Amino acid sequence: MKKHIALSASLFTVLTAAASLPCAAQDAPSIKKTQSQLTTNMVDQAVYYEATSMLRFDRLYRKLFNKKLHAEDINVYDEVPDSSFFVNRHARSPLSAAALEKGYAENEGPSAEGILTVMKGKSEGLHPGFFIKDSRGDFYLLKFDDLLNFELNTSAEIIASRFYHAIGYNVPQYTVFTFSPDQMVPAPEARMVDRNGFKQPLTQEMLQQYIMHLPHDDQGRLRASASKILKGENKGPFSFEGRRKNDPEDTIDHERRRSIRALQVFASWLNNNDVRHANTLDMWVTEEGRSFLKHYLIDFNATLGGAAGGAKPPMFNHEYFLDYGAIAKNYFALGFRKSDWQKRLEEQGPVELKPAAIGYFDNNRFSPKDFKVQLPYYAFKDLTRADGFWAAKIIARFTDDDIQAMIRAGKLTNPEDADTLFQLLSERRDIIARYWFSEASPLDQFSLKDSHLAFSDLEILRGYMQAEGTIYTAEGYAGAGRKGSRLGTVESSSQELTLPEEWKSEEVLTLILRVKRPGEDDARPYVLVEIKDGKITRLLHQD
Amino acid sequence: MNTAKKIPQHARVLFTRNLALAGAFALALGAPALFAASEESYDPYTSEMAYTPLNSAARDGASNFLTYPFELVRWPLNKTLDFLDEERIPQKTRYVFEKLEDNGIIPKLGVQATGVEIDLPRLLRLEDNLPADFVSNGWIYYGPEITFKTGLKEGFEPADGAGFHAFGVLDYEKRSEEFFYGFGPDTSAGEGTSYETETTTLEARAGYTLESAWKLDNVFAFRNINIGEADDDDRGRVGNTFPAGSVPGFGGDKIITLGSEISWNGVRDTRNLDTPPLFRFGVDYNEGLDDSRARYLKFTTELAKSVTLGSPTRILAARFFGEHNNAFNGGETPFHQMPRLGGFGGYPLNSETMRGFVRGRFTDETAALFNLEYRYRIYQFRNWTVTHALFLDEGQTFKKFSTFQLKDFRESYGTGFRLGYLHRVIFDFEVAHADEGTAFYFKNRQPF
Repeated sequence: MKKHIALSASLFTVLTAAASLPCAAQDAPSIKKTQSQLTTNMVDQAVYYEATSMLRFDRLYRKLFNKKLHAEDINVYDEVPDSSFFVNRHARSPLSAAALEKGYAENEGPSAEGILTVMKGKSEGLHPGFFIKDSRGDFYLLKFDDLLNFELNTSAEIIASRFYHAIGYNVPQYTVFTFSPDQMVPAPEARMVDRNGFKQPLTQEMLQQYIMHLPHDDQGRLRASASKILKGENKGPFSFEGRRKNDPEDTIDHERRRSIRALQVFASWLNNNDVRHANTLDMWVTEEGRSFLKHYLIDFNATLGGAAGGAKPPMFNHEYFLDYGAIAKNYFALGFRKSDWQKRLEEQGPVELKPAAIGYFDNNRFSPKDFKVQLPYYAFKDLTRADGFWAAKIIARFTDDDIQAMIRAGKLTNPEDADTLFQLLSERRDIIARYWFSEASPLDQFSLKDSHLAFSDLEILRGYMQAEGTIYTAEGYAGAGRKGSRLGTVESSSQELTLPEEWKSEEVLTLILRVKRPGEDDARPYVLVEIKDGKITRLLHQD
Repeated sequence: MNTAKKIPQHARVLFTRNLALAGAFALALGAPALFAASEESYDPYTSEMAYTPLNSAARDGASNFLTYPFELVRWPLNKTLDFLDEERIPQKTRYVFEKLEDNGIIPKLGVQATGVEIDLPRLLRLEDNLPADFVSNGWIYYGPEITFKTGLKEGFEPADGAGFHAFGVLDYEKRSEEFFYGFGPDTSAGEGTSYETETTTLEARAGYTLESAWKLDNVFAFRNINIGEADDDDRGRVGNTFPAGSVPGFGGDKIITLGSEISWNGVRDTRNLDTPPLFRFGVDYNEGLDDSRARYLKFTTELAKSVTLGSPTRILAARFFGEHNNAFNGGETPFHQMPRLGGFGGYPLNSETMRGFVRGRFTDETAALFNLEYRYRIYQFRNWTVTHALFLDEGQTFKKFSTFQLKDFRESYGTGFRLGYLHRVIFDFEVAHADEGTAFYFKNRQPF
């Protein structure tokens, strides 16, 4: 009888859920195309939101009482499940070296054969370029290096696109494309905004003038990063705050998405100072018979040692575009305070003396905690320890070989440059992982057998910490969460806890796990493990 | 791509909730043991969400309540900025300015006077037919309540600064309101009067500039200065406030000037955040014509220098200005030709920098002024900088050296924030205080 009722209940549940699922072949909702101009974006983020944040009750409350805002796009195991924003790739299953090097690819890039028809010039954003059609009829955006930094911006864009894709973000196809300038021919209807802001017909002569100011390789060829124009309907950039109107799948405020917040951590790895609305793109796509809004990250020239116009200026990633905290400190210090970027500049020497293809990129005075992109988004400020741990966990999954494979995609001519990048990125991977792991009880990969709860301590697994002296404690509580009666505490020096027999009688058992390292006074943030029906039903790292 | 990606978020949440209900129902019917005998694993990437998203509209509506009035500012501001960006107005504006300059029309925008200079050879497309050093410029400026100025300059002046120069200038300038508070250091701000001046100048200048920036400049000039009553009714009239005959030159003057000046980097570049060093010293002989009693020698000197204090981001900048007018042979120095202290300084204010006091606050035959600024950088982003300046202005006017007393120095001090781009001042905001009050300045240059 009980079995019968349970079956009926399950059937009812499944039918109810199925009825609430939208039809797969739904019509496109009326999603308005958004815009994000650089100046507006800067004024909004650096001035308006900074000034009014103290007038927002929720932010004020959290600031006053040091409350964290947990991410909402996480599943019961404290992971970000696949969505139109983020797809677990390397973290779910390590990608092969070939797959990492290839990244997201629809083809091999623009055809090197035949004419490249220039459709129009790109004047928006920080890196101008050309929209072209190759001889196969595919459309691409070509962007180039600065005269003094050959290979810097182009390799940075391609390499960073590989990292972002492997991490889990949607990116367009990026490839290094080398070609003869003679292949470029403007289309009759091609237009380009000239330096005076006027849209002009793009003539061959005008094109030659632009090309003259681009760096050429030894054989007189141009080198570009070629991004394939995305399929679907362009709906403009997505915001790092709020939701898209009329998008039925966009049910979580973006500043509460871990996948958006963690862009801050991934940016710190890739030295990306230009993470902002305008460097995202929403496309209305149809994939596998389903139409939906797919969220992309685009434009990675300002990663690694590059920025608009060549090498990264020294203050980038140390301070915001308008960093009120730094300004206030400088003001009161009467000129006798040196910012980290100033000290680093003194130690590293002038930007101009750095290798051209590397730009201004090193790990001197790099701090994952203090890393800043150029605009102060709420989403990045709301990043919690759990969000940081999640991101660092993904970063730590990349082995040295993985990193080298992705750097190969940048096709740097000088092997020493590739080697330098590898050294910097692998070192920075470890710095970031060490930091965020140390901010958490870095436990993962839980399993339960009989009364033995096993887990991996990532700090030890990755070799950042010795196992000796570490104590793992688990407080048991009856029921879900910590509101039930406290059952007691168990501890272990190994990555396995044996739970007392008497705890078996609980329908739901909640464990609060903490790591205690030798020499550390304060207890690490907890990991909540919920057990029900002999299964781990919930994991949660403390924010 | 797994199925989680195909199912919309709200559907997944509902599905999860229903599954959980079904599970709870099943559990109630017969709960199994808590710990399983075999190892249980889980799918860490399951689409079973931890939280049900809340209604953000209601939540944000409440928490953002206080910010709504500011949205009324933000919306039009954003629309304006978007328009400027989309239509590329800054680039187009720059293009218009460059085009005008290419055609010999040079707009001059200032906070207190705006105008235009005309490069006649360029305007008339005669550049190629004339010697490279030939100059023929005209100008017209207007500053509400301060000045209307127009003139012409013809002659030879080396384009790169070094070489021989010789040119003539014809200039007309009308100042609708100049201030006069009496002579010496002990005048009262409450006794301020105002007057109007109208000056027509015809002058010839010749000299030589060395590559090292040392310059000798000789001048022969005729000036016709008319003094009238200012429009401002709030202030007293000079003639009514001060005893008759106590203000020399009150009836206006016609003056012939013969003078020389030696200088090094002699033109003050008030847009340069680093204050390049400057020195100038000049002597003029001035003789009144017709019924003017003007007969005096004018000695002027100015020195400015900045030093970095261990770092290019810390600068100590100092300036000295001194002027002495020595009337002789029964002549006099007209009051309108005497040095004046007060205000921000520089053209078109015609009063040297003492920022805590009003423009033209102190006047006499002799002036001594020290400006000291400690400047340090508080912000830098690419080539944009903000420099904070702490300054002290110490100055006094007096008649003869024998009447000079240290205690007569008046001081003003204050603070300034200067937005710069590539070491050029874009915007300057300053607050200065003196014993007569506080003054605020919004400028596109610094005082020195």
